[in-house]
Amino acid sequence: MIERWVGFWDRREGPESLALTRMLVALVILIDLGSGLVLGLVPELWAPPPFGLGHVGLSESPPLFSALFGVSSGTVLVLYGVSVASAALLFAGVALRPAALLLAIASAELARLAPDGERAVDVLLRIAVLVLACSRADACFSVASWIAVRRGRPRVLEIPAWPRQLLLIQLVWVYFSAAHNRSGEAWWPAGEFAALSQVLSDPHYARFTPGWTAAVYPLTQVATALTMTFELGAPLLIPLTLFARAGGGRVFELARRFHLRFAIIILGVCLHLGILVTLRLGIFSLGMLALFTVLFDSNEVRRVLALARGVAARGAVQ
Amino acid sequence: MKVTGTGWPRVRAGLITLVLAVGFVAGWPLMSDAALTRLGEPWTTATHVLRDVQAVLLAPFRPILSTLVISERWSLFSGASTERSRLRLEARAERGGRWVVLYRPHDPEHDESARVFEYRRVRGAWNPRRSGPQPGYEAFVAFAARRIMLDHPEFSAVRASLEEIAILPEGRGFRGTGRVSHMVVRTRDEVFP
Repeated sequence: MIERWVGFWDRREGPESLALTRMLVALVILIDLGSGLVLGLVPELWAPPPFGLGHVGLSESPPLFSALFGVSSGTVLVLYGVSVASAALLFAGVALRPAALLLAIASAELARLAPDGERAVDVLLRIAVLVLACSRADACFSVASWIAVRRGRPRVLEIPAWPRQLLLIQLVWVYFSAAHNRSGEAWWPAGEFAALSQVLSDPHYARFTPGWTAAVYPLTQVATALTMTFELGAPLLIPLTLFARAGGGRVFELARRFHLRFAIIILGVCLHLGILVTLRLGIFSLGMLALFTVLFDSNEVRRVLALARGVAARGAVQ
Repeated sequence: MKVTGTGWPRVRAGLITLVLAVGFVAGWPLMSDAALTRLGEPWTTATHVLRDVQAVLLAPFRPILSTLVISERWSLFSGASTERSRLRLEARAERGGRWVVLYRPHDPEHDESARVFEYRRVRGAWNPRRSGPQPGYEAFVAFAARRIMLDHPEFSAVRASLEEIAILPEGRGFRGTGRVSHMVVRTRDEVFP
């Protein structure tokens, strides 16, 4: 049993899937940090009041960097600059480990200065960045791998699979935890699955004028039920991903025949696209979808990329 | 799978197991005090015992979790409440003058700096929890007052409040209740010290 457990975490796989995760996670973080800058909110988002929203910096226990260098807009600008630079390095796949560690630490410092602006997706992306720091996610689609090949080193064909496996468990846990922490009756049959119509009617979150859902109320009930089904069923994605090609007995053979894994993934993608269109939640859906890449192994990523290249080449010929 | 070679795979598997165990304990779905008041015994005692056990088990890892601001308890729209609030920002030119509404979410006639106030990190400071306003609500009011007064030199004070609203059944939107709470005023002298 222990040997199998050790063996499970000792697997190796192609580098494409985790490299794609690295790029998308960094891109989403850059989009979020860039949005604040475009809106003229840097350093106000984390600076001390009355200039900014970083009210915790003035408390008795400011985070480490602010305690050392003082609570000021200047300190925030340094932390913001480090976050942007390290996210850009992470995206490009340069100095992966120091860049990822710096990004996690700097973003945590900013989060501690203004915790109200911090949402679940920020915590999740920070965890992902920490896992990526321990991985070989720079083994392809990166400046580091490009330089290595130019210097005559062989391409890296296999990397440890455990970071992707760990991120897969993390992603699944987010959904499952969210589902069983839902105390509001409106998410459950007793509350007639009214939750989504309520959220879509809340002026603080709704993208469209609240009230539009009256015409499609039954659809919002179905969407609420499907959301709960997806979140409670998310743990199934672990064995379905591990036995995506073979093994697992007759049950998983049936699951493969009926493409159950893809059905669950498509349900999740639709859930996030629905949120993206109808609610103003910032990078929430983009961040979650960036992590959906861990649901696919490198063979699948290679196939999709080859398909995309083929389509692009045909387009160029025409 | 057969593991051979050095002991590193075993050490790594052990470390990953520890991470998973800490994450699992940190993610226990323990009920809030509000929920316990509603449910009573035996949930209250059981939850308090579990909270104590959780605190003891996580104590060695607390510095890491708090430094990196990491949690494994995920809460996404957990309540979906029908009793909500709507932010209102007003300003006035002089003491005793009339308050003018400048911003309310989903109010096209009052959308001053809407893109800024609705940016997710800013909204996080004014969007109330079920238990009341966010800890940074007052910092937000000062921040909003400062921005408004920079754009409008004619204003001498800014007032923020939360209009209590009721979400209507069957997706029919919301209506105001006429009640207003958490009114905070910031004057020019306070935000431009």
